[in-house]
Amino acid sequence: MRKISGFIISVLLLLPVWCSAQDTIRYPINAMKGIRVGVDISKLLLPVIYSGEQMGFEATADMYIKGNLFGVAEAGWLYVDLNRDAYHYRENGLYGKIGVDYNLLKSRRPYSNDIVYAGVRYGLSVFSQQADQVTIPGYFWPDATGHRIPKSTMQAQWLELLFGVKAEVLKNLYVGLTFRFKFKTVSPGDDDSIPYRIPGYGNGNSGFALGINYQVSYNIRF
Amino acid sequence: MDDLRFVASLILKILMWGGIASMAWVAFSCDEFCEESNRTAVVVNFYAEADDASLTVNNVWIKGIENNDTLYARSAYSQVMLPVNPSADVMSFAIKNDTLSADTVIISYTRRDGFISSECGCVTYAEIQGEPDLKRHSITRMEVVNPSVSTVSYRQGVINAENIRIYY
Repeated sequence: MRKISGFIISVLLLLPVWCSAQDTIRYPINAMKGIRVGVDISKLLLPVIYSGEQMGFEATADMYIKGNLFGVAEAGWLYVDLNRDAYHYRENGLYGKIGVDYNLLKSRRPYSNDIVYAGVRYGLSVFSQQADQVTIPGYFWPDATGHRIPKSTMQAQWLELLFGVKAEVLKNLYVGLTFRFKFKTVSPGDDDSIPYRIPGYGNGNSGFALGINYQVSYNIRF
Repeated sequence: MDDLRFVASLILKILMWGGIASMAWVAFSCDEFCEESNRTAVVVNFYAEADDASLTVNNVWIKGIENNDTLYARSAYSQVMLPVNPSADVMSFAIKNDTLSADTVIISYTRRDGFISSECGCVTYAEIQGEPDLKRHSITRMEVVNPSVSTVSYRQGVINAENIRIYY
């Protein structure tokens, strides 16, 4: 009798769970396992966009943490060479960013790894700038020619807020697009020489910058 | 097939928005035109010796001694700007107003060049050394209040900056 009543109670207790399991199919939001590594295609197009005056490279790595969160690290390099009548300016530097992405997409597709996300990054750049063959207009006085600005090293830091999408186009191969809003938190220390670009950030003279990335990445499963 | 259609539409959307976004990005990243703030000048304000009040001086005439060129030609000013000579560490000016004889102001400074922007190029900043040498006739005294000479905008009118005070 006890066994029968126990069985009946167990069935009654489990009934709601059994029913909900039948009525609602739950899809995992993030099924991606492994580490996803990629490159930013837009950085490889810099020589084309800027007629050879800029070149750069950026690599990314992200990994699913838990819930809707991905941990992200990005690193890159930028080289600038401006050869004009009044100066020859060069800049060279590295940058790194660290942050998290939050997946906004509640997937209706079973085991889909596509994500639409919002994220934050904190970036740091260390770079050098110099100029030679400098001509400074005198306006009232004669122009000064043959001047040099010696090489100096600077650093800058910034905060990024970003929105993006990553689609798994082939198994483990992703294509993504990211829009970035960047806010400088630490400016280069030299007030007299404003860098043309801060690697990873953008215009050296601006406290706010926009950025766009096209990324191709591959998920290395483990 | 449904999967392929979904992926293809997502890629096309990414490419479309990416194309629009990249055009906007290039437009945003275009350099601004160079403004006149790529000039550095010593900002000089005139004061009355009697009460330290700001003074508008009539018929101000200023000439560069090294180049024998007129900088200001007989107008009333309470403020004048003396351009930094990027090729020398000293510059001299003759200053007259209603008087017949000119005061001579000799300013010594150290120079350092800096990059402003891709459109404006480079400028020469200056740090005034000591007090200017003054061969005076109507100027009673001069005072360096800020030795750091930076860029100025000639379009702005009277600016809130001051390197040297001249007292009459």
